[in-house]
Amino acid sequence: MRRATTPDLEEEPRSREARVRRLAQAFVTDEAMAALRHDLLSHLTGIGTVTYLLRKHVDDGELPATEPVKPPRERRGGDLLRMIKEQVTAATSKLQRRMIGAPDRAVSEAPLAACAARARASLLNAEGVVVTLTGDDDGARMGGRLPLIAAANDVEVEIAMGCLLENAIEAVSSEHGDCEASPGSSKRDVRVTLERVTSAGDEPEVAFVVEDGGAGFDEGASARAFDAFYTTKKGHLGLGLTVARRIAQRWGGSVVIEGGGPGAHRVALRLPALPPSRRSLP
Amino acid sequence: MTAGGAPRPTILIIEDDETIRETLTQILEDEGYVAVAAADGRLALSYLETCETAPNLIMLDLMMPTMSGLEFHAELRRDARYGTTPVLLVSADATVSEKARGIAHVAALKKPFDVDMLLATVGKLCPRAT
Ligand SMILES: Nc1ncnc2c1ncn2[C@@H]1O[C@H](COP(=O)(O)OP(=O)(O)OP(=O)(O)O)[C@@H](O)[C@H]1O
Ligand SMILES: [Mg+2]
Repeated sequence: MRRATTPDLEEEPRSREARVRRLAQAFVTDEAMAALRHDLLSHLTGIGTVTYLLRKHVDDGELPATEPVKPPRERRGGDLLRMIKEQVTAATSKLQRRMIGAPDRAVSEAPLAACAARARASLLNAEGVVVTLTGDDDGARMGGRLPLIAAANDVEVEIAMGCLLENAIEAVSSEHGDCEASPGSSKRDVRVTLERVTSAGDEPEVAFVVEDGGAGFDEGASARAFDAFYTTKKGHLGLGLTVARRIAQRWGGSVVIEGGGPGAHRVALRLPALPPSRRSLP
Repeated sequence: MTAGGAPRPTILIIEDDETIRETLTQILEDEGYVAVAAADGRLALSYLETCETAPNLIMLDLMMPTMSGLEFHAELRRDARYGTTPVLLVSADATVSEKARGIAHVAALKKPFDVDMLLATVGKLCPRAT
């Protein structure tokens, strides 16, 4: 069994679950912080430019000067902005440092099949959607193919996979609107394929591809789906794809909506493949 | 028009935030530049494909929907006409200076910026004829 060759998989299931949960929370908080920080700094920039323009027009005599519009030099926008900016930077960098450290290079082998199975098992699937996994690396034992192992942290990969699976299950579940089945797939199906990505010239990659029978991305959703806080679902944060992509990019991979545009039903998590020489083969 | 009727330098502003985009356009126009604004990288690229006067400077927000600032930059440099056009990255990203370091013809400014500082930087990258 491959299990015996990968010590990380021996971990106590409950402590591993707690670790996945903690890390997932950290990612969500971190993304939320980063998005809020970006928005806040953008707003401050807008306030700064508007203030500058108003002041200039007052100075040029195009607008009537009134006391509140013409504060003493030292209290003008620039200083205030600098002060606020320092506060924001200090507060967020402190928080962010506590959230996510550098990638944990000590554990940087993620067997796709095991990660996918665990991501699936950890999801509450009250709707009873059928999630089938195919193309896993069991072929390694039977057909001599190399197992699909990503050069990434396995806990993080599991979280990213969970984000994609969750979206697919939600897309075929009734509570998120009427889903019309796309041709060729059953309405309540989610199909996951693990595959090797072979594109000439590039480093070899492995992929976790999720295909669902839902209505696909809404018009406009595919362009903005990766934006933090973008959601079309009631009561959701809109951070799933943001987090999944962040994790993928930390390890040199990507998350792409395949086919693009509205109506796409396939979302792929791609990660660099672990070089064969570094694999512990069964 | 600047003194002597010398052509005014053109600055292309790529910024998704409407307030910043419009006020910056106005501020730069007031300073004697010709300011052109685009709300995202795609619109900017299609402007660049057909424009008659190439901009003397491109101000680029890093984080934008549809196409990131760095993706835009990569596309831009594919076009020989814009191989050395100075680009000023303007971003709330705390690491914007690091991102600009080492890339030829690229400077950086963190948001929020002091407008006087911005104008000084723009003046250096894109001197006005006096
Ligand atoms: N498989 C899918 N089919 C159709 N639309 C999708 C799919 N996956 C994502 N989307 C669209 O992209 C949006 C953003 O997805 P994302 O996972 O980032 O956030 P969310 O699922 O809305 O909220 P959260 O993940 O925080 O619970 C969704 O609201 C939805 O409109
Ligand atoms: Mg989601």
